[in-house]
Amino acid sequence: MENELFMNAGASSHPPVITSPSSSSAMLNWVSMETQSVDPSLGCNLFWEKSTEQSIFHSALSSLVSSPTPSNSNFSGGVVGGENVMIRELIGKRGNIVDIYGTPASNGNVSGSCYATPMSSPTPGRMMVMKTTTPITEISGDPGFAERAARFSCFGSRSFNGRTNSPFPMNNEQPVATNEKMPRISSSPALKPLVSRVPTGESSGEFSRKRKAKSKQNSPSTVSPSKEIEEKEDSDPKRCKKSEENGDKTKSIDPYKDYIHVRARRGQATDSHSLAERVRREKISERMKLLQDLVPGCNKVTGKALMLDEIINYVQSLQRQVEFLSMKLSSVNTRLDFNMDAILSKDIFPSSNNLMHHQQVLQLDSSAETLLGDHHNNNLQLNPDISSNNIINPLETSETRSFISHLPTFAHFTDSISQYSTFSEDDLTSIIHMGFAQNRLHELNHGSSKQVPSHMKAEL
Amino acid sequence: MMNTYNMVKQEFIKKWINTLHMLDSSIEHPLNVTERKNAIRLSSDLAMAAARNGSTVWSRALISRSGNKTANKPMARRILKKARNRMKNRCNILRRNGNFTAKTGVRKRTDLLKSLVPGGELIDDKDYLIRETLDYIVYLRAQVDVMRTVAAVDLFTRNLTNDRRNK
Repeated sequence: MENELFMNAGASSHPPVITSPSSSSAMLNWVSMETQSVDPSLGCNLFWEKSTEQSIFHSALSSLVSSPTPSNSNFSGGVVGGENVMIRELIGKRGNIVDIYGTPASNGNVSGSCYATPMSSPTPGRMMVMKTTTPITEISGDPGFAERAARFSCFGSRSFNGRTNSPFPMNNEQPVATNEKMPRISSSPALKPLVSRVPTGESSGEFSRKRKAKSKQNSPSTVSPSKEIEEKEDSDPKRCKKSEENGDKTKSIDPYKDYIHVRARRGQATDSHSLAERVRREKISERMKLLQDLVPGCNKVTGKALMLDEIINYVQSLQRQVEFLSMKLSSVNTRLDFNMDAILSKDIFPSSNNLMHHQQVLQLDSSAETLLGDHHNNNLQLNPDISSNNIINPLETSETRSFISHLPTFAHFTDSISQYSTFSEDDLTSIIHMGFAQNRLHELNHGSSKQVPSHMKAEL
Repeated sequence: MMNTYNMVKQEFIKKWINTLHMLDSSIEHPLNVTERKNAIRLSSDLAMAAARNGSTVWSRALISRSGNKTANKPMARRILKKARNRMKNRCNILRRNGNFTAKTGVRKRTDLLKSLVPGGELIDDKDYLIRETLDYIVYLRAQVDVMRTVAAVDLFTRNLTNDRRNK
């Protein structure tokens, strides 16, 4: 199921499979990535299992934020605008791509997977970065970084195209990065590896923070083993800075260690503990930013505590909505559920993929098949007050069929239903407000309601 | 990319119908309104967690928590079969802190968030918790959207049949 989800989500982004062993120069890596970008099916199966979760998560996140469903209308401070839509798409794509990288199966790909640090899009043309759709562009998760970088900083004028064609990109950066240390990130294949060269310019601090946090987004616990390497890194920053090529080569050569290489920034403590601490903090802040994008109305809130407040409120409100909606659905004619079920069981899915899904779903257990057969009987049981039943009793299927025939196919069902919901949006909100009061009343009056679940609890 | 959210919703709907069926076979009838509400809520939660299919902490915790509520153990087991790892759910009660009068602090809030997200108490790493919360929010929204549209459709069809009846 989720493989399907992932495939549908990621197919558009042409997920390349990087399995080349780390070569001494990034150029070779680029080439290998190009050559291998055409056959995603090769190693994709390897990656899917491990990455489905996060990829779905990312794609769901991106699609969620960018989807024009009416649910967005509920959001007060929701993400609006094509720009943000593109940004989310980028991040989603980046997520997919990153996930493909992040398997221990692919040993040598890590540092090789030099993202073309295309941070260097000269203008705030972040869309430009995505439009240069070479496979490398697709490969590099950096479009997501690029636009974030462009948001926070302005870069030197290095064109992305120039980078792809040039030899090792470090050469371009040398004249720029002489005065400051260049934060660099390289991580192992065990983590979601993002080796990225950051042209610092003026924005080293914040931007590299973003990048580091992004790179560690999917690897929660890598701090402790990384301390040693961090120390080693810190010991010779200047050397690495000046000899960019060699530095990157050495970085690209050790892909097998599973820790994160963190470069100490200028003017900050180089203690391994503080570095690890900073990495962790950046990771958390990055996640919080993602949550900020997901939870509506959170953009103006700064600080962890307040943001957590918003998130808590949102989760609470969603759960209350579910509670209320289930109450509402229980009091209305639940036969509708089985109408939907009839629609589904009659196979309304437009594509064959969905057909297979449907069959897989039904194969959960064989009893489900039989249950679907007797859904008419179940209707009676689940709907005790037939007197209030506006819709025909289950034995009269003709009306249901006519009713069903009015509805479009299920794939459109959802969309059309969403349209219906927009019609009654105001009504719904008012009902929800009433419903909350009602719900509390229910909970107060029906004190036994709390005991009902306990009745239903199985005794182990 | 936008289709992914719709697919999440579709997945949820499919699972929901299955859980409704399963639950319906295991519950004694007749039910009053509250029981029905709980059954619907239960089936919906189970469907949401099953749609996520067990690779997240919250989905597994939600399945095991909801599984305890059903009298029919085989049903819970059937759903849990999909989830590879079964996690013990230590918290059966969803604490709702309406009045958050505790001292402001990230610690308190993370504790509250842990109580909200199913299985959150089992997560110690804060950024992992946030990651789980993110994922949970996505599916929670899908659940709310689906239920809302179902309710809206029902409202619509009810008006439709009323109109037909009145004609």
